[in-house]
Amino acid sequence: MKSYRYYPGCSLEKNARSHHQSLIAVARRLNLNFDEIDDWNCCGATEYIALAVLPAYALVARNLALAAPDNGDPAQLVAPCSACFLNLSKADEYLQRRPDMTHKVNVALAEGGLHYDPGTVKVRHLLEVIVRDVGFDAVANQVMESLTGLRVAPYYGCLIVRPSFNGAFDDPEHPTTMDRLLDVLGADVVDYPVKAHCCGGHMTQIGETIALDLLRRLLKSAADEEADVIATLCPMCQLNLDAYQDAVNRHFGTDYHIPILYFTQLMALAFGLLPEAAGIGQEFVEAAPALARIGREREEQVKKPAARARRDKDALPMPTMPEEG
Amino acid sequence: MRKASSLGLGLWRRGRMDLTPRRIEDIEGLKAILAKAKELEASEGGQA
Repeated sequence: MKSYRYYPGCSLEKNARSHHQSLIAVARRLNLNFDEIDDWNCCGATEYIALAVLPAYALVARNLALAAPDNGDPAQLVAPCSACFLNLSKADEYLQRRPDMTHKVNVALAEGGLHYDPGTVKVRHLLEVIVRDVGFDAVANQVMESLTGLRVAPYYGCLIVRPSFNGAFDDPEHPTTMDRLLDVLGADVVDYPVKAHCCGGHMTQIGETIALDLLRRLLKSAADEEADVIATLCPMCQLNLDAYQDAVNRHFGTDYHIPILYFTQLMALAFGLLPEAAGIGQEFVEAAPALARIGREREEQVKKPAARARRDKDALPMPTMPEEG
Repeated sequence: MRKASSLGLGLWRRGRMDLTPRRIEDIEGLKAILAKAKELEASEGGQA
């Protein structure tokens, strides 16, 4: 079993719980062990570094210090959220390049009894770990219920592929790693030219009209290719495309109903796990109709409605209507 | 604010949001780290 330190980040605790659930389920099948670091804190998302540079690096470095092994050997830290992955890897990279910054960050960390030596933690995205360390063949060996017939648009978003430091594992403009992974699962991967475009991030809270237009472009491209599902790897992208899809429809008079699922959810389904185990059912745009096309709808939606329970003998009597005729 | 509330309610209904956040155990340590980092940044005129 291969072991990694694990940084879930704030999103995977709740909003992107389905990502956490499905990745843990998939990891078990792939013989991967994720050891969550103790008492981690928020990575600062995409905003904090724009407001205060040194505190933002100190905030991220606290997580790196907590993930670093005591014996000085390099540790591998897996971050499934694209923003967390970018912040953690960027902080480590820049601290390696700038000893003056590292010194200041360590002066700050010392106030909390911590210290970090840049380069002692290798930050990796989950997709890269699955593709490089596990490999497509091992993934294919776990496929029990192929996703054949499910048309999937692979959406990477803009954070994971750029910038290309930290041994980038895919092309920043035209990534294909997730395409290949979904293909191994048996899905019909559609051409998705906007796969690395921005979803708007937090623009929904700042300039909603602009954000909705960015989202409309992503949905339109998927609809043009008749995709049943958009597969994503970023909690921010998932939230925007999922929770604001209705707002896009209202604003532009469109009628999109495209479920947004994490690639780990699709892996879990292909590995034969129940939709519930894959966290299906937590999305705003229900995935059940799309999954029904490949016979993988949620269990309760295929069950016939349960007959009403018989009333308890001791319950209060209900009025009865006189029989007609 | 109304739109954010509606999003929050939608997330909460789907079990995707808690009303109370997870507490950081060593919150005092984290506060001390951030306070020192802010102090260092301020002492250099915001240039890290």
